[in-house]
Amino acid sequence: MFKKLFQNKSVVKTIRNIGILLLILLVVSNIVRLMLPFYWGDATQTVKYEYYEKHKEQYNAVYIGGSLEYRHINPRIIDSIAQKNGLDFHSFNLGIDGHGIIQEMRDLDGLLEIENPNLKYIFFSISSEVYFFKANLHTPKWVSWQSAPTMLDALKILPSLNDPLKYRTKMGAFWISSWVENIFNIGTVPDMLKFYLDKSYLDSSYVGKNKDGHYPYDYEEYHLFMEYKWEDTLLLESRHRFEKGDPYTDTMNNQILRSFEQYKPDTKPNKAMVDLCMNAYKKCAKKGIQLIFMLPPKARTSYDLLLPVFNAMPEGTKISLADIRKYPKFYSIEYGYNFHHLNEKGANLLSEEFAKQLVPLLKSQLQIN
Amino acid sequence: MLFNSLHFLLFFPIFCYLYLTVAKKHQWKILVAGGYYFYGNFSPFFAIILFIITCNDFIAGKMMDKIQETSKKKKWLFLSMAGNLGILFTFKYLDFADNNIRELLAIFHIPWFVPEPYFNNWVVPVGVSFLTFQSLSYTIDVYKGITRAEQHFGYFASFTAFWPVMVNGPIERAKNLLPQIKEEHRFDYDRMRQGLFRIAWGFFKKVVIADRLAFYVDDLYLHYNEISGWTTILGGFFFFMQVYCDFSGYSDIALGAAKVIGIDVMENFKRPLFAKNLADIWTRWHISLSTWLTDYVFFYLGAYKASGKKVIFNVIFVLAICGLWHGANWPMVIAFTMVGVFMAIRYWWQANVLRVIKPSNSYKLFDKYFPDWMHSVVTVSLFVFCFLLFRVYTAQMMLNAQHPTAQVSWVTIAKEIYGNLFKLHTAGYFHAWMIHKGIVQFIVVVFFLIALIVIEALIGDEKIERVVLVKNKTQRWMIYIVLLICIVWFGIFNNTTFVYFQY
Repeated sequence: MFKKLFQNKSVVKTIRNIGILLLILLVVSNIVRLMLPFYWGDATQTVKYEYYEKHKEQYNAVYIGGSLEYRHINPRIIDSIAQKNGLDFHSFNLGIDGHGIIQEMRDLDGLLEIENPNLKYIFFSISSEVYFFKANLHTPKWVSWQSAPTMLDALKILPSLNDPLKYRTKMGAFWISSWVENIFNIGTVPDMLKFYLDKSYLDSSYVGKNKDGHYPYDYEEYHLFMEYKWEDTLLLESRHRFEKGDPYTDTMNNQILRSFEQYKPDTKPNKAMVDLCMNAYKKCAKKGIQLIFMLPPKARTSYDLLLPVFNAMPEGTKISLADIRKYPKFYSIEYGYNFHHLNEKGANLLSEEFAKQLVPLLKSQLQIN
Repeated sequence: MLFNSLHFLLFFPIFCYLYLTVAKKHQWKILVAGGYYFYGNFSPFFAIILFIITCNDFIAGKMMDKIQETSKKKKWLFLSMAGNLGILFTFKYLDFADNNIRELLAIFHIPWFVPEPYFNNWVVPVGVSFLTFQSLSYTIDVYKGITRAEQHFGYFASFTAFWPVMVNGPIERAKNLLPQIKEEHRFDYDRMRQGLFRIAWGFFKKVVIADRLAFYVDDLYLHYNEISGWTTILGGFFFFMQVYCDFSGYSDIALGAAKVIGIDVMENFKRPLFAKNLADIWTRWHISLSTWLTDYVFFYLGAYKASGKKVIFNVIFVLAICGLWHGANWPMVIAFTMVGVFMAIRYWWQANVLRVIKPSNSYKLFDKYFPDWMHSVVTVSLFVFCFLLFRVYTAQMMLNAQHPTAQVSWVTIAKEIYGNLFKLHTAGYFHAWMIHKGIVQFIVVVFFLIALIVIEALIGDEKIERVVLVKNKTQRWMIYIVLLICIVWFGIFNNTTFVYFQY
């Protein structure tokens, strides 16, 4: 029947014409997108990256990651401890809410394109797999940064995860559809125009009180200016539940404890994720930049998956703050904001602990060099 | 299945391929299978309802064809009507009736035996009003002898399950659709071009204009106590255009899809913005419903042949029925009744005053300086004025669900909206619109609205695909590219449903 259909010249002509139209659309869409920076779709990221670009020469270190970095890592504390120990260390927090490992890779590529001769260290968070909030779908925040390599990276990791096949297939389809949305600029042009013509939606407070890219959730709550209203609601609800001592906290903490207790050094890490991180490592090394991996506390993703990947990274390039046995305070209600985030007090404590591991690590590297 | 979904994007080419390549004797089977798949995709239960309606009307039609006696024929007609209207009443109006009876009895302190809310959670089958009216027109036509009863169950099932028009119209007539269904359909390049262009045009109206206007229209009702004056007027116009673009966009997609598979479906909209009076608007807006009501209700009541007062009653009554068809709630009924009242006033004016003053010089002068476009502005303004009530009930449901502790009545919302409408020295909430949605969004939506109005003014009552397809190749391709870019770049694609799905 197919053969018969394609013998019909009109059918072939129709399909050819539709193909030509789509090709033209693809070309024009990509030309338009070339004029935009990779971070244009996310207001927070725009504010932070534009600030960084303007002041890049002041910094020799940056942190890349999601909210676990944005809300937790206080560069002012880390810089001051490092400097007290005689290190030339000036850092900026480029963590963005919701960014998982794939988006971090995109951030890294974008960051490396921004010429900064002073940049020596990039801190890269290992805290997620390739799943994401469905509510992000079809938003410029999600669609704008997609590319063929990021989609392929996600598709490489998905088969090796342990979740049901149906769920992983669905997620794979979402990754593909998001990429298609990106290459054809599907529904995103009004936001592109907004990016060019009306910057009033950008809020400079995202850079943080100290202009170092760090903004704890405690302040966010007073401001409530997140890009999407549902995020605000989610944020408040999650804090109330957490403070009321929701049993999920215990479940989560027990799971994390079990992950660390049951971890065996010979556990096979997820190969696709290791390859991804090592690629990032090599990319930075080529540019003379040291990539340092971080394992933050309170991740949504199971540490059963994260811990082996983190431990597979080269020695002397790792900072881990996730072990509940070593850092029980990070998992307590006193230092927490909600289930997966610390409050300002917790963020400051984490930054101090971070610096404690960073100083010997950098000193040993300096000695090697 | 929604037209603006990835599912439909896969379904449509597969359906076309199957339908246009199988042998003629099997084509109806593909139509039926496609229809039940399309409709059953919303819920398998809906497909069962469709099957019941089909069986009911097929049997009634066949029996009426066999019987010569009018009284016996009438019994079968009533059976068909009872079946269709019974389904419609059960799923759509039972809750409304229950609430009204309860409230009425409460005035006299009489308890009502049905617990509250009993029928509230019953799921209304998508497009049930369209399905039942389309099917009902068949049995009425058979009864009147306008159409011969269909003897082949498969063809009849293809008529009721004709998916392009099934859930959102146009409400097709058996005399137009059934003969076409029986014909052989093969791939036709010209029809394909016309159909696909019409589909693209429908998508443009739906995803670029209607869904973008929804940002503002939602606010109009959710912030009904803050919006006032010119913002209400603009919001009202936006709402009118949203419904127009949403509904006519669906009709365009339906017409285009049917055209691709070789079937011509009736036009449902003809530039209502250019209507010169309220009677004219009903020849341009939801034409398939207005002709249905004219043929089966208005003419049954005696139409314009009756006495003056009766005509006035007929007009208002038909419009009230039209309102009830649109929604089982009082604001909707009142909105359409108000249109009916305005139409009745116009009828009275024409019959009693205009006839007398028409020959006078002053009237001729007035007519000269009151051009067509001003008639259209007045007509649309009156329509929008009534139309503001259209969504009050939905807004009430939404607001009460959001704030269960602060229940608000539809009367309060309506009072506020109409009260604020006339505060013409204000433009309350406009600034908030600009801040929340951004000036760029506003400019984009206004740009496309103006573009639509200009295009409609230029093409006149001609079908858009015909206007475009007679242009030379370069112009045609430019139009294709621009249209495609507008849809893809400026559309909203998060599976928003069509406004008329609830009817």
